[in-house]
Amino acid sequence: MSNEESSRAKITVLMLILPTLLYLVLFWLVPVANIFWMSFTLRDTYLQGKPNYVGINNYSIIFTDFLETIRNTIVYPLVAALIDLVLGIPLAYLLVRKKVGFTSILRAALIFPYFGDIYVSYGLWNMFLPGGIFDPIYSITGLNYKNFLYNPNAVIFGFAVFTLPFMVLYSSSAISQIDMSYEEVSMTLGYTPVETFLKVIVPLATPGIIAGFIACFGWNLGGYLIPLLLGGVDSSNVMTVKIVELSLRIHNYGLAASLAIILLVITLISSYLTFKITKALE
Amino acid sequence: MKMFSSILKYLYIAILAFILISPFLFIFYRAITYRTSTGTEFTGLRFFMELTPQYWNALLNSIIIGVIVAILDFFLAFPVAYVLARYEFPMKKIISAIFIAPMFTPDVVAGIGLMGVFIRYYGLYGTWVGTILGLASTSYPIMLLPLFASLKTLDPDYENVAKTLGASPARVFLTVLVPLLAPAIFSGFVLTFVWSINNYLLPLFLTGGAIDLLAVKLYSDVRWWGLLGRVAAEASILQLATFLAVFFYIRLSGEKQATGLAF
Repeated sequence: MSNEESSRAKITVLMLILPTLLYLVLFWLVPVANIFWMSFTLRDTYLQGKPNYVGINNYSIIFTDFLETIRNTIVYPLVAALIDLVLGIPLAYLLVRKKVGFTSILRAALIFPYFGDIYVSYGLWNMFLPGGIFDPIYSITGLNYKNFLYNPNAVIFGFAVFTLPFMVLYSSSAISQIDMSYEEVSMTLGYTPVETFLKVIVPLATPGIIAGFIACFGWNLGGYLIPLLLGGVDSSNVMTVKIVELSLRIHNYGLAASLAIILLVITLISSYLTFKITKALE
Repeated sequence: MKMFSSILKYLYIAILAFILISPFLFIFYRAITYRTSTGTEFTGLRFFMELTPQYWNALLNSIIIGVIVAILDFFLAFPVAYVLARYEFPMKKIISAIFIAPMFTPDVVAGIGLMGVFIRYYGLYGTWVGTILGLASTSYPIMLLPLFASLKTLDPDYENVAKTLGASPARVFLTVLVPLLAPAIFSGFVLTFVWSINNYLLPLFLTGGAIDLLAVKLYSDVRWWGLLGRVAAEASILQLATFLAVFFYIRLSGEKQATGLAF
């Protein structure tokens, strides 16, 4: 390629990405930088136009009073991702290798969560409350809805349901790239189907499975209505819920901003890892 | 033994399918029934009739905003997808990661950040323009990914031939790229539309209650009036709009491509 041609290509690239880049700077980079700035101010003084800078005061409040919030924010999605791992990979395997029928129903079911967490949380919440579908179970076992709702397990269950499709998506694309002959050989050598799955398929699909695991974790970090509805007052102590409460209801934007910065850092680390493992956009 | 394992297999997928589908179906069920002390009474469309014109207006607003956001997303995503698929340049990996980053930003974080700059600097707080620009900022990567994937598999010779024959870049775009990429464009369009009409968190921060959107109304109704049939009816309407968009999309583009699943 001649010099002139390559410099023309450079100009073309620049011209094409410039509008989007400008937009990205204005509506992503500047707002994010602005949260960082806002996190050093007292209450809503920043939005009022006369910022009162308090240094790292907001962060020290967070690292004394909100440690449990941060812990829950990480632990709930992590456990949910583990559940997805156990439930999702066998499903992905059965679907990819066409070992079960009803594929189209399952395929449709796997799109639902793309609609948003509002339906998953609202639907599950209604199902578990009295008058839902578990009434017969409640009357037989003597349990009531409080055994199921408004505790950390309910939040984790909601998260797991919401992100199961992502797990199936990632692991199925990894499994579909494994050559059938590996399974045939392992079966010929006397492994049972379950052994083949655990000792041959899972190790070969590991990169895709890890990517799916991190993706599930990352999606649930931003989950809001699932912990709010299923966790109730006692167990909705996660960062997203606290950020909305602190900002829109209590108007302590400084504190909310510093919590948002910490959440953003956790999310960016996990999405960077997904990006690195899946080699998206390559 | 063989029968036992196949029963187990179908039990497993039946349970998973039930867990995934039932929340959505139960919302519909709640919208057409009423629970009394003696049992469950079928109410038909009564709860839908209870919705005031305000709700239908909010649905209309949601659809208008969803369509505009999807169109805007296309113009933001296409040039970047094209450059990433067709050109090599230094630091390409980092640059592509930066373009995708907004997708991974939690809505609460994007919301509080956009709210801050809208109030302090841009003067877009509580406006239609602000809501649309804000929604587009976190959704355009959803459009970018399918466009990139299709451009990557599309032979560049189609464009090169058109260029050699003297077509202008605009003409190549309109008569070669757009028709060949139609499935990907369509899939990006539906995904971003569905994503926008169901997003309640960003508008909650950006509209300041000045624009009625159905997802936002639904969110606050679910929070405060969650057990009323009217709320289930409201959720059903938004859900139905989403179902329809996805259904037509699957019909037109083939199921396999629609889900991006490998089966």
